[in-house]
Amino acid sequence: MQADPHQLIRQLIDQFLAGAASSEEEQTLREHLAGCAECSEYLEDSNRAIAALRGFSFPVDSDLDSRVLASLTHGAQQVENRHFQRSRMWQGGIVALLLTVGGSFTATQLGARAAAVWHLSAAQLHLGLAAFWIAPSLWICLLFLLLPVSPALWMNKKGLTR
Amino acid sequence: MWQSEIPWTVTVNDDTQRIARGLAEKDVALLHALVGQYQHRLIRYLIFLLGSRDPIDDLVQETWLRVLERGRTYDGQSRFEPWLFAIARNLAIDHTRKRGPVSLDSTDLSPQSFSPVSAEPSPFEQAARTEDAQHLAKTLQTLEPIYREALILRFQEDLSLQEIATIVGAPVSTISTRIYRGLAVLRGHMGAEHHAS
Repeated sequence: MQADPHQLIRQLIDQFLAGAASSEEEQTLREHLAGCAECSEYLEDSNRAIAALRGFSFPVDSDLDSRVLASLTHGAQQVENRHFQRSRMWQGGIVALLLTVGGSFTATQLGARAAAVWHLSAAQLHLGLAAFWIAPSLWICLLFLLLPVSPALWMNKKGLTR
Repeated sequence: MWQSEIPWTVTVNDDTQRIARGLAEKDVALLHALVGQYQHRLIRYLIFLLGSRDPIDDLVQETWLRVLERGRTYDGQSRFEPWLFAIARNLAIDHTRKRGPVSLDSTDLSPQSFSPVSAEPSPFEQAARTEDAQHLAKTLQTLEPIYREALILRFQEDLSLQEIATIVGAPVSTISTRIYRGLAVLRGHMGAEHHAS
């Protein structure tokens, strides 16, 4: 049984409207539609349905717009704050690490000499090292964490924002 | 006759690159501009997807916050709309899952799951601006959400089949089928109305 040629053309019309027809298929369509009222009506009905689909207009609530804009502004500030905090934590951590490494190097170089000069025991030497380089590095780390959470927030408080 | 011809070419241009840069930098001014430009399209898409106005406000707000959070994932190599609608779709699916064991992709889905039978006009009836749209409103309310979605993305948002497939997460052939079936329902309804008049 041969396929109905009009059915095939209707399928081509659907494909064309969906954006799935090749240029050759479009050409076939144009040629057929030029002489077929039935298929032309099918296309016309389809276009009418599509036009109807485009006939809807949904109002946008201005309150919703305001809420969205406010939440985005607030959200962006929070993201910036988190980024600043993370940045400060990393910086503090790196500084503390450098002090620790630097202090360890210094301690190994001078510790024994100092212990000899001042007649210090090993325990006293270790206590001194902890007090003079471990504690300072930790305090510097905390200092970075206690800084204002965001330069923008600080500027905002000072009325320096645009 | 060929009034549905739609430009097929999607080009990466300065605009998409500018949006990608702005989103990566969390540019609030750009975000505000995007809200102004795409808000009404986002709302329209979600209403067509869900068939109800009720959850739309929260979903719209969540969508834009997700755009802010994940701005870096938009690379500007394609249009902004598919990326935006994909975010909205995922949030809508999460919303429907919280409501109960239903799925947007379920063929057993009753459109009334999102819009319980009510004496109030549906969002489509309220939004119809032409006579044909008014005739179509009831049909749209009862149409499968996946067909409604495919139709609005194709014929209102003018997205390509590939772009729609990316948003929906389905093959292009599936999207084509949904468009054909949805269009057949609309055409049948319009034809019946035409002959009745």
